[in-house]
Amino acid sequence: MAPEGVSPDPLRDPSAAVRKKKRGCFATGCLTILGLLLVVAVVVGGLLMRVPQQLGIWPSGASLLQGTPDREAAAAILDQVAATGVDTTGLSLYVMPVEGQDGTLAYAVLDTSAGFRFPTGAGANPLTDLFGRLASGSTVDEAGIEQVAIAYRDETGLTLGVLTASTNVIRQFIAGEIDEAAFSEQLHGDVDLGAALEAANAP
Amino acid sequence: MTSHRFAGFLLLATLALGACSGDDRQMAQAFIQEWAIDHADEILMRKLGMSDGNSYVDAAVDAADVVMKVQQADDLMAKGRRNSDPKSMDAAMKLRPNDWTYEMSRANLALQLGDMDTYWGNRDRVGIDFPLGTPWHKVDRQSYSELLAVHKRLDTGPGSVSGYASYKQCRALYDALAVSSGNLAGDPKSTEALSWRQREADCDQLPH
Repeated sequence: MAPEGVSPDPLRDPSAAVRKKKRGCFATGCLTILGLLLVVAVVVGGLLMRVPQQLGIWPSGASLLQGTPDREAAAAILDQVAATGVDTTGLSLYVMPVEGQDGTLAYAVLDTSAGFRFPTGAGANPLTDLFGRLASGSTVDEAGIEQVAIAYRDETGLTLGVLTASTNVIRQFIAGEIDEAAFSEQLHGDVDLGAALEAANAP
Repeated sequence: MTSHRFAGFLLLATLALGACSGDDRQMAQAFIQEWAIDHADEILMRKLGMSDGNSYVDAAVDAADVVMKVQQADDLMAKGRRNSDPKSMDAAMKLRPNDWTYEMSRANLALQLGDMDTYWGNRDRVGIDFPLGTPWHKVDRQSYSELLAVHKRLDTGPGSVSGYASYKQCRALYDALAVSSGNLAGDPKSTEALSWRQREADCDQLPH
């Protein structure tokens, strides 16, 4: 045995070499967990950085919306919305073909920082009211709009989120065939939850 | 007194409208907030870039960057059209390749500048990128209005061809005008189309 404070010499004491090679259960488990955490972090980081979309493995907005926007249709629909009494200041509309689909997407940006204001007396919910206006009329049919999306920006220009629904669902809602709760269930989207909470609680 | 009452009424009405608009805004934000809380799982899925297989929804949720690029490209293209500036147009087309409306404008500017290779190249691209099933009159409408502007810039009067850099430029311009106007009229031998054909024949005065 080596004196106290001196490391054991593996040549004189072979069991010391064996002891040194062994890792404790804790060390092995720790390394495994660390390794797994690292893998999870890389996977989540890669997903958040949209690596699969950039590599073309998963579809992205850029790959689905490569076609030429229908600017004539967008202008006609905006005129139609304006004719219903909506001030279109701060409201931009894009009508875009969607790759692999026959129909188009109408994407509206409501930019409060650019002066957008909901029409007064729009009904119980100004957002669903606007969905209705953007999904109605002959120009919408002519432009083949199958999906309507609304992106909402607050007074600072920050996008709180985008909500989207199919034209059919919106029309069912307008016709009273489904109520607001059912409509809300059929909505899809992406919201900056922190910003939305902050904006909703702002005076 | 009446005017004071009227002014007071206007002030109250303005305040009421303002308050109403603010309420609507808060109502919309509250709706978004409530929807987000109820659909936190979907939002997380979207943040991770996962799809539920509906490409309309995928496109809508992920359109923000595309829309920003369209805005930037449209601004550049508008500048290019306004100033007959090919560099601005090329920058727009770099941001949004495959946009047939850009390709059409770039072709017509190239024709104006006598750059025939760029003209034919972009005309061919329009044919490739114009989506199937879309009415061709959209192409003809844009083409005709832009070509008319080119004609106005280069024309030195009927029978005169001194404004054209080459026979090819002159022929291409009046052929395209005749075809577009004929298509728009629904008759390739419409009076207007035939008058452009006459101008096309005048191009023979140029060396070729």
